[in-house]
Amino acid sequence: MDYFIDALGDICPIPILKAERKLKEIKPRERVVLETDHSCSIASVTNHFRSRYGYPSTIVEVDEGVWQIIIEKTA
Amino acid sequence: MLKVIVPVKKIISRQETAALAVILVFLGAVFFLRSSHAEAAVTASFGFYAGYVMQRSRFCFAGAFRDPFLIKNTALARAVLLALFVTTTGFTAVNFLSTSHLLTGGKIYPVGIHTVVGGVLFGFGMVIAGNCLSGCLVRLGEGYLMQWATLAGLIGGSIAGSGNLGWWNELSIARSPAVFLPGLTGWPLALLLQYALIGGLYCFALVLEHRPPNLRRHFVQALEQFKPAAWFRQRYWPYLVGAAALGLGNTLLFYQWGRPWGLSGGIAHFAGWLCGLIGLNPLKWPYFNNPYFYQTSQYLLNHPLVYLAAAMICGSLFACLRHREFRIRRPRSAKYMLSALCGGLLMGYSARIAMGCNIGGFLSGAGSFSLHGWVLGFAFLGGAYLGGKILVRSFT
Repeated sequence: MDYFIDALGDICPIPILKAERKLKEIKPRERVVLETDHSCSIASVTNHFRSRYGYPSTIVEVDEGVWQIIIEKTA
Repeated sequence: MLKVIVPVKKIISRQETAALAVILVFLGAVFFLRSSHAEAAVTASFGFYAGYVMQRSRFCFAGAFRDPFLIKNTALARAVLLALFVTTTGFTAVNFLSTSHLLTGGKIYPVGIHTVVGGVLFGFGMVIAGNCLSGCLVRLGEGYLMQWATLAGLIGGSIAGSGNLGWWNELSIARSPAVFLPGLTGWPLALLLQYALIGGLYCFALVLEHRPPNLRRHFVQALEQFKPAAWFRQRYWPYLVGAAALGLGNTLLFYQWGRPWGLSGGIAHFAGWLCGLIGLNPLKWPYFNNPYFYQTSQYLLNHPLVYLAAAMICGSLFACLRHREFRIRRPRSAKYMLSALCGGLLMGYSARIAMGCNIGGFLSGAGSFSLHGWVLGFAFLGGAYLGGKILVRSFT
């Protein structure tokens, strides 16, 4: 199942903290979809979950300057 | 493993056309400056480059000092250390091989209580504002509304700091020594000390993040980030690539201009100019009537760092439009605006009393082998730790 987090207008590190909290709650193989317009987030969020938890991310550009980051809880 | 999905788009968007307009206007301005104010043409060119690099690499000094505490992530902190490594190496080379010398042009300032107090306030300010001074300028170019509050705060804080500098000068600055490490220990030992400190902190950051760290695998991965394929595949450059590019740019600026990258001085001179417009006389303030503090014969709007700061906004705007990422970005709540304003005020004030921000004070300061740069860096960490606590309590 996918969990949607609206982080539009939030700046670092709030998107990471929101995603991290959700990812701790959900079951393995579920995903978090984080919508953000914060340009730094596409680097900081993906980097954080890859290096610290080993979770892969996909970035979808939904509009100019708006992205959805899909993070999968692999284990 | 990172997949990026980009929807099919028009071949040339309005943003790319605007990017072309921005760079043409900028090149025209630099061409004009070359004859009227040659120093500003150099600093503006560098500013544009730095804004571009910081936007593309998502480089963030505030994150570097905040994330080790808040989310136990040291990727940005390690990138800042790489930028410092490149700056140190570059400055040393320029010092010996050219006519620009650290003792005359470097950021070597007194270290004392004012450095520690200023550093802690600045570290706190940059975390609650969400960005440092350079980050604020880059975000302005990306269309953030929140950073206009930070800029207003920076201007207000700079005015307060410039006016209040006499008090700090008597309390601490005038009584504190400026420590230039090679002057104390000789060049070979100073260089060794500096590299050992940077290397030691880098390894400590790795241990903090992954314990136990696999050093060999880490360095192989770090080197892979420098393959051009790695950065063109992504929508942004890896942090380390941005860090190296900033260090090299800073070196070139020092070579060409004779002085390293600084920013907060530019904001203070701009604030002074604004005060002049409304009939005040900033040249009476302690900051502007002591040549030690402004280090150039050019005042207010003529100060080359004012051009550097403005060009950073242009560089970021260009990078953002060029990659179709520009948008008017509204903060999620009014609380962010307040936080941005307070952070700006603190940063503006503390940059004056500490005699530099994260750029001129820390990166160029420690890169110039000045002890005040290092003390400032550690004080930032203390302030960022406190700021992180407040931030989490207020926004989650």
